[in-house]
Amino acid sequence: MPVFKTYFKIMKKQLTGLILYGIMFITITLMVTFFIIRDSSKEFAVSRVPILLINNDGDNEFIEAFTSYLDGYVKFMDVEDSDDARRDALFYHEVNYILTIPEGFTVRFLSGEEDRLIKEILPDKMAAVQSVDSAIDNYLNMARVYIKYNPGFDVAELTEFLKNNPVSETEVIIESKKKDTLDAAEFNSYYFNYLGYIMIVCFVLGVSTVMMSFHGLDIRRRQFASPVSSRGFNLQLILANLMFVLVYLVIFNVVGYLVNPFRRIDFSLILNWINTFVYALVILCISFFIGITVKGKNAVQALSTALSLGMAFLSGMFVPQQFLGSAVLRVASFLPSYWYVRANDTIGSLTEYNIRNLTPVLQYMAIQIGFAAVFLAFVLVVAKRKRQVAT
Amino acid sequence: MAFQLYKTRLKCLFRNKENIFWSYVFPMALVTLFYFAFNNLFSSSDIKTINIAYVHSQTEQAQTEHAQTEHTQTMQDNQIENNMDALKNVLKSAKMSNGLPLFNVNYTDIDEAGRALEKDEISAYIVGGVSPSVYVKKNGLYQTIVKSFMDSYNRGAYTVQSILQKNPDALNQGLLDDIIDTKSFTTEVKKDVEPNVVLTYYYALLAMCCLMAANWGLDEVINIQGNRTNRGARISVSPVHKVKLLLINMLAGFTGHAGSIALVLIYMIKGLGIDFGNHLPHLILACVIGSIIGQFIGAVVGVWVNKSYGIQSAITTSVVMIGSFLSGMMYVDMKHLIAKNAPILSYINPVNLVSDSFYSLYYYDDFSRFYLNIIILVIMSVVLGVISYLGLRRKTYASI
Repeated sequence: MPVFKTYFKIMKKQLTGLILYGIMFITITLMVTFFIIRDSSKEFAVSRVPILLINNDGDNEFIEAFTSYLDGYVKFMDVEDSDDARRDALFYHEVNYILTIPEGFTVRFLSGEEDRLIKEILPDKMAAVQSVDSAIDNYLNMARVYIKYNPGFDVAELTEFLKNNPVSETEVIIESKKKDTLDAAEFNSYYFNYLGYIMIVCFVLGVSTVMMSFHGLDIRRRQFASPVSSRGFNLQLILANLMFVLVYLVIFNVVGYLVNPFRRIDFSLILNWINTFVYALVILCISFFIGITVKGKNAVQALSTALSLGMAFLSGMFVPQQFLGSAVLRVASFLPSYWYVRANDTIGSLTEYNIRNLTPVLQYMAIQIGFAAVFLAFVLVVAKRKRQVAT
Repeated sequence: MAFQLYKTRLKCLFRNKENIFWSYVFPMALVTLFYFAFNNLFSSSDIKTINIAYVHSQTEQAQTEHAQTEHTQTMQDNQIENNMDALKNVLKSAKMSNGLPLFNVNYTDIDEAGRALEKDEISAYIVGGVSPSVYVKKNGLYQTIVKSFMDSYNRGAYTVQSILQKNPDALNQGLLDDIIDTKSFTTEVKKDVEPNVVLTYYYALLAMCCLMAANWGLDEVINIQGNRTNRGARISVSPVHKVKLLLINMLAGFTGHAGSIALVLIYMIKGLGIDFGNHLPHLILACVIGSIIGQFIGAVVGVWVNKSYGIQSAITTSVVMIGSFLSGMMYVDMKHLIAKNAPILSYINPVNLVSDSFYSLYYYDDFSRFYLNIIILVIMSVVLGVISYLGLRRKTYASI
């Protein structure tokens, strides 16, 4: 099978690029996995918000008790003592909250006067800010009420009261019936979404370049003069393309299984695999189309970058679909990658398998097959015209 | 004559489709994609009302039923009932700092609550009783808020007890009202500009565009060296002074590239509404210097790296891309990590210096940091310019 062999000979030249993308992808995956593992402890832990505390009131018993209480809800960060450094820390989300205790706060507060702490916050981290706000308010309100109804108190008595309160913390239980399944699903939906991006880059880079070599006018003419029939030629090309796709998918699906720290083979994973296969067919048809229409290697390079980044950003491969605007999503629904990501996300959220749950997944796959058919039709039209030109 | 050379060179440059794509089309496309992707991600949305469920504890339910059938309400039942009501009321009346209700409470049974938790419809559910407990699916901020709220509820109860011990008359003086009426003890100071981390992406992207001039600079010196291109060889035998021609070509390259920067900048400011602060002249100065240093980086590679054009262009592109990565274009925390752990690196990375100039224009009130960046960039440009000139001057070829 000379055509089949030549296909992989040409592909070899692209191998460095393909491997580089693969390595980059696996490295980033491992990094993200590390974050997922770190976040998923089985015991409840308070999410401590990083804050910067600036105490202009000096150390005293009351402030000490207050900060040691706050330590249960926030993480005190050390930031260099300059205005610029503080502002940088806030800008880069190193701290979410800068709390300043103004001078004389303790005296005013203990004498029952109304006074407030000063905060600088991150407007895009309102949940964290709310968490710190309520911790501060709870504590100071308690102190306020105590002061109001115990007119002749002393500070030691007050801090003692605040320290012992509450006698017991609220019990928090993590219900983790299906925790492992959930972690595996979270990893998979991340992995397969990102894989969608890498597949576009690699397929366009690999398949399109090879197809371009085969569809040059002179090559075409020489091929017509050769004893290999046109049908055999095309069959070998299709076979080679499918071979490439299969090898690629097997490698990345196995790697995806191996690097998943929560690995388990279940029906969801098999659905993910089927989805990648369907998607691979779409991308294969698109790459084929690019390969026979675009002239010039540099153009293929530019297209592979532009197409992959565009589809990845619009379809929610990098930023989850739930965070994209509705207008963006509407535009994206004209892209096959959008349906690929949707299928992955739906598979990831499956908790039980029945016809009603699986129907949308199958629908999304069917839409992708529709895209593949459209591009295949394009390929046939263009190929036919090229054949006419060549003969 | 000089203008003729300039015009011809400009024509050549605009026929180089590849350069035009990477400098004109690609940045515009990328910034649009950034805009779509990040627009909602970090937008300053307020915290949402937290969905939770409230479940009566089993014993509690049994007791209430028992009480209802027997019509004999013991003291303890009464107390539990009161407790429950108090907790329910407190949950219902809790407000966020912006006045919206903190919780959306759904009263249900334990199975239903478990199912809702599994499906992420609620963040947590509370099982009431003498000591209420909180059930969550995973750790997180909303879960922390629920816990912190329950803690404060318990504290409230304890506070009432201990005050009543010392001051039995407190109830009549409005103790309960005081407990429920939580005051806010924090006040926000707002600076003129909001800390908005998304800007780092845009600034790094624009800095990358400026530094993309490296490819243009590379083209210029390749085209003028006799041992690299045929055109270079032809120019070598022409009577034009090489330095003059190089300067004219560099100027043409700069013009071509500056056009792309102007376009991207106008698109970012007018089209997408990205905030660059209010110092337009300074902003343009930073872009111009970024473009100049980019050209010189390309020139140095073109003169001193004795390899094929493909390798040279791969080197310039990687220098710019790695620089962009280190200044936070792909991963926003990178810039800050470098500044904290390897400050030297952030002062020698030209992409970071340019993007940091944008950042300091936006975020700081004084210009000291901006000028520091600009001065370093100017020094680097001069050094690179001299290095590339040293490689180009007085070249003679015996035979090519």
